[in-house]
Amino acid sequence: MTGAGNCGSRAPGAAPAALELKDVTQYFGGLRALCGVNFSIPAGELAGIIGPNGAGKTTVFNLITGVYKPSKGKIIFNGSGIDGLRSSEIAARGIARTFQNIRLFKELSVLDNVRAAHYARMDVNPLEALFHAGRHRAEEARVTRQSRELLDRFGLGGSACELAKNLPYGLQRRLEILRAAGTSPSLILLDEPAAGMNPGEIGELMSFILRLKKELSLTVLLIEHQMRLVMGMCSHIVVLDFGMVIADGTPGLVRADAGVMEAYMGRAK
Amino acid sequence: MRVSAEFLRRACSPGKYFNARTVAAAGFIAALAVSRYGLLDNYLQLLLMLIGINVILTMSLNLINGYMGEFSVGHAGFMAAGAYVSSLLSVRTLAAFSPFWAFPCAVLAGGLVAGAVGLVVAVPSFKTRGDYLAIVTLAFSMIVKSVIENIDAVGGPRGFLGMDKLTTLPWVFFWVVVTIWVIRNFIYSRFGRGVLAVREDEIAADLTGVNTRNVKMLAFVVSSFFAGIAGGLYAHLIQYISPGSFDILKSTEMLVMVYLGGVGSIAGSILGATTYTVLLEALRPLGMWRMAVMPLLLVGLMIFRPRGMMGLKEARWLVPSSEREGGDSK
Repeated sequence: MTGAGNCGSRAPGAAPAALELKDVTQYFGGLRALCGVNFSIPAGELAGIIGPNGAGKTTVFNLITGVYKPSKGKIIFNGSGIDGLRSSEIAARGIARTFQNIRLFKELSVLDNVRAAHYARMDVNPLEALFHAGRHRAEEARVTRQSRELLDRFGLGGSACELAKNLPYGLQRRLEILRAAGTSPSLILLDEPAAGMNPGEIGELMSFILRLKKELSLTVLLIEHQMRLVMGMCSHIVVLDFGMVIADGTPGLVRADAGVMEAYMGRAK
Repeated sequence: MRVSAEFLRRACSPGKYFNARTVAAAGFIAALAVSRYGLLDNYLQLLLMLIGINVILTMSLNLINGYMGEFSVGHAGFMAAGAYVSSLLSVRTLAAFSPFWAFPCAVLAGGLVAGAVGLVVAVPSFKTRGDYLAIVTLAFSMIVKSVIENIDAVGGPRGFLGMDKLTTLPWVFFWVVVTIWVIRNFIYSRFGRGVLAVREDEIAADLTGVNTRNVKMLAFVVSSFFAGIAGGLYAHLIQYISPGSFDILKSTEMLVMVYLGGVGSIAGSILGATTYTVLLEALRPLGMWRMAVMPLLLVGLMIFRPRGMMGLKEARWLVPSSEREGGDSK
């Protein structure tokens, strides 16, 4: 890591970075959404991105997952550059995500939502699939078994046969996270997982995310407005404001940061 | 009402003797017997063959419009490609000596060419979708039509004839079974789930690792391949094809069958194609009014069952056995 990053480079001695953003800048026409964003997430960490509305948090996710190509800068995942790759290719390399507004495959069953996520990890060519070859059947059986296991383990096994759209809101959120986990990622990006949840549900969601992270040994990066969730779970927080990183560090550090207070509360007169 | 629902449920669920395999075998034997011993008069046989061809067309279009959620209105173009290629082959090469397998080979060649054409149409689908892709497919079918009109070797606008009547009931039945089998395999596979994911949410599909480009190309190729097969069968049944037989009206007819039967359902495709073909014949005594009754029927259908008679549901005997106990949404 020979990052030229001036702000946000981590202390030496930390775990190797799973994800590194180097001087990432994004323009939408004349609007500068992100400006020289630098930060890195060590493997195995649970990190959070916070910031006021419009700070560019979701844009960061969209750049990492290849929805947009960064105007400038590099995104490095597990040691290789991924900026400019197609989204499906990035997903196949091991980055999965959820969305701010849930985007499930609504008319498919819960099971099929997870099975669809196995696409990149299935070794079947079109002819084998069309002619129902042995390998296709074996792969189908494997994927069905693994998907059911995942659903059973994380509490959605009972609704495997229901249509995704018929699940209650909280379970839809969970299913979306499990669908992301179905791609066998090493890094998972959660975009406001607790949006629209009451405090009790948030508590459950927090333990759900922690268990998922531990059992599947994931690195997690999440965007969240619920401070209780962010401060309580994340070991590392990046604060964005107007497309720039204004703070980067442990929750304690970020909480004490004057710039962060100003971004959220405004300046005291 | 309840009795009939119970009956329907039973009729559609696979039993010990009633499953896809035995239905196919029994049907094929029946088709052989009918054409061999003339058990049905020629008119009924013709009707059955038209139903079969329409089932293939409907399944083919359903893959794009029902399962993938795109809107192709140019499917007659693929059908034309298959019809012309197989007709040319059969007239030019295998008229004199024709072993029984020569005809399916000609039909297959037509299907393959149509599939290759489908690959070309798939490319714009990477960038456009919905209404815009519909216009692309419409333009494509117009291009096919005017290209054929300008090739003198196939008769141009006058049309093309000289094919023997090689399409028989057993062959149609054979291709119907192949179509159902292959498309079913496709849908209940890695790629089929990718197609459904594209329908539900293309961006989410991409971000969960589905290679949406590959999936779209595959869907278009498989779909246009079978449209081409149907074209070949049609050409050797009617023994005359012209650019006019593959115009927008033909494409519309296919759309009607898909939406009548049920989007995203194999059973719906079979039901839709059969109902439409039979109704069109049954209403023949109405003469001119026939064309007024059909659209009215469609208006009613769209109001009361906008997703067709089956509407995303599948008859259980058409679902692969490994999928049956699992919750099925297709």
